[in-house]
Amino acid sequence: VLVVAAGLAFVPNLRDATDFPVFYLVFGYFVFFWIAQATSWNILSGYTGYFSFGQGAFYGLGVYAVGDLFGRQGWNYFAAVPVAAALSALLGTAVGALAFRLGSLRGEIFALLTLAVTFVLSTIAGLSNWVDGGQGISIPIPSYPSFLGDFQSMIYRLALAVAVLAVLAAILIQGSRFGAGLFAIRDEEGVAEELGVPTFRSKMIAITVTGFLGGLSGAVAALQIGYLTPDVVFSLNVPLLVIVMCVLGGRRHWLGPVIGALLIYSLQDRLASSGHDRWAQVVLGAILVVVILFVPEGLYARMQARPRQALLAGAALALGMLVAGLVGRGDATDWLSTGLAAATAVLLVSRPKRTGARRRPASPRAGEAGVS
Amino acid sequence: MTTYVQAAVSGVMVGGLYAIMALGLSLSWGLLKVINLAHLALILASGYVTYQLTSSTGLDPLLSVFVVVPALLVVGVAVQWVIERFDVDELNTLLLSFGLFIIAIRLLNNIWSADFKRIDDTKNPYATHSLLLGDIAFPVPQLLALGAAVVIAVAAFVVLRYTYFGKALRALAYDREVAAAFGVDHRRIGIVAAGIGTAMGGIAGVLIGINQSLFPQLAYEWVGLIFTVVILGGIGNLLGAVAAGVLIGVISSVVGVAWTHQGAPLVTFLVLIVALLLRPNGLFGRLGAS
Repeated sequence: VLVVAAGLAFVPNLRDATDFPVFYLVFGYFVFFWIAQATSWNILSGYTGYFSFGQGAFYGLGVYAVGDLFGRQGWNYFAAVPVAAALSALLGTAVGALAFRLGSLRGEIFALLTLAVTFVLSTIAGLSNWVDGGQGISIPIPSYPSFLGDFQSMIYRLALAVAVLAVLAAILIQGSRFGAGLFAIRDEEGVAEELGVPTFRSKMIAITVTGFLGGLSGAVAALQIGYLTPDVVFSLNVPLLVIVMCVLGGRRHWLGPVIGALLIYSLQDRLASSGHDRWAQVVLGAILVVVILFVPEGLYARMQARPRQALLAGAALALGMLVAGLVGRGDATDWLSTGLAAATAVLLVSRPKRTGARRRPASPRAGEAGVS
Repeated sequence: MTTYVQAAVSGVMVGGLYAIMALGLSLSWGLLKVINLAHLALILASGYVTYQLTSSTGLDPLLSVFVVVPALLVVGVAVQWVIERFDVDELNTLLLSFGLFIIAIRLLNNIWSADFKRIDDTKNPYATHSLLLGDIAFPVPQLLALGAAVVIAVAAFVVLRYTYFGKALRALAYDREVAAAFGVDHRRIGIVAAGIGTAMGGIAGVLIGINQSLFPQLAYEWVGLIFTVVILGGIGNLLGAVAAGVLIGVISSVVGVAWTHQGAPLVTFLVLIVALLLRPNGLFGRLGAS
């Protein structure tokens, strides 16, 4: 991961040499942004199985904290960012402290509680004068060290850094005892508790990390958005996309959200720029439906379960990119999304045979126990 | 003082609308373990169909019920069939119907555009009527909604309590395996119940169409509100849903008058959060909790 990240960090420098359109940097920024958000969501909701619709709250708080401190109070941008992330983490802790204290709070109720928190924050932002007051906040370009390059290169690199941080955190958690505890909570919380997993503390840490990363990523996103209004910042777009990404990619491995974010964002981007904006959300909803019905465990788990199909998917990816390249219409992102789409199609088709052993057990969360 | 009384009365009336939207959702969540977010999109779609039928034919808007309810019945049956066929678990039904919800809202937007649509007053015999009781006004369209909500909820209560179908359905909600062992065909009963649930949404949609202006984002505004009503009422408890709908209606209406209209959702969601924490089974108990 670090090697890939280091490579990606120098992409903006290539621009001087090859003069590719700045559009690719924006594309890269959004891919990193979504990777960070999806990974952040996955640490709580994917690993522990506590589904959250509250990603928008963490993200929104991060955005607005920067908007207020940097945009209106005139703080240094780089001082405002950690404060924003800390506030989001605090929000996560607060939500967790309320919600997890009740053992009886079931999964769906938790999901709706987080949704309600998002609505409350959004209403507050729209109402109170010291946050937004209904006028919106415009974000100026901050001063920053010159080695980060021009403005677009800078937010590209910042987003990359946040994404790397998020993915590293996800990898570390997954490999640790703490992560194993989170997976145990997902599979059977009561049993986990009895086997000595400190379930309350684990969930608290997970939701705090999720809040921190979501807020951090939001703090960077504030620069890209430029002009903040509650409707835009707290729209259901973030929780929506993040869930689709993780469900598609797979929720039990750090790579799942990364794959999902790359797939969904590039698809969205292509649909939007080819003038099919009206259909982007229809496609998104359809993906969610198809994935839930056919690959509820996600693409990454599917790849692990069926390595040969995964190779085939890789081949399809290469082939798809080649074909798109040969046909010669469009640009590099067209190749990328064509290839990705081809690979996804292969994985979707390679439905495991329903033998007795593979049948999903009746209990809801134990379903993916065999895959990790 | 009259302002507050009027606010409370309007709240009760609006609450009737909330209640009727919540009924089908509560039924399918509580009894079928299907969290059908798409229900709200279907209500909105029915509203649009009512708008379209009334605007182009000039017929009484209430007659759209005969188009909308059968159509939604079919949709509900189809979705439930898919859920049964693929054995989707409770949390995944939320995601599945979320997907359907997004698709439906976007399609509505593509068909009827994002503008406000409202049945023209000349074609809507209910829109402008209010019953006056002293200084207090009771708008007719909302009275209709409240009446329909109460009638449906009571009917559903009676069916659930006293008929074979109702008992079988409750048995399924309790314990599917045991119910199946006693010869309850969960597939058939589930599909019938799902159809009835979405059909309730059709009635709600017609009433919404009569009552207010429609725009696609409306369904997003409903999500938080209607789920609040369902949870407060006790999931699967239809009479509770009516009571909770009225309660939420009164709270937001009175807060709207006493403070600001934008503040109303804030109070509503705070009520939800507190209620979730103190009484996770809802104010009036869940189905089967007693």
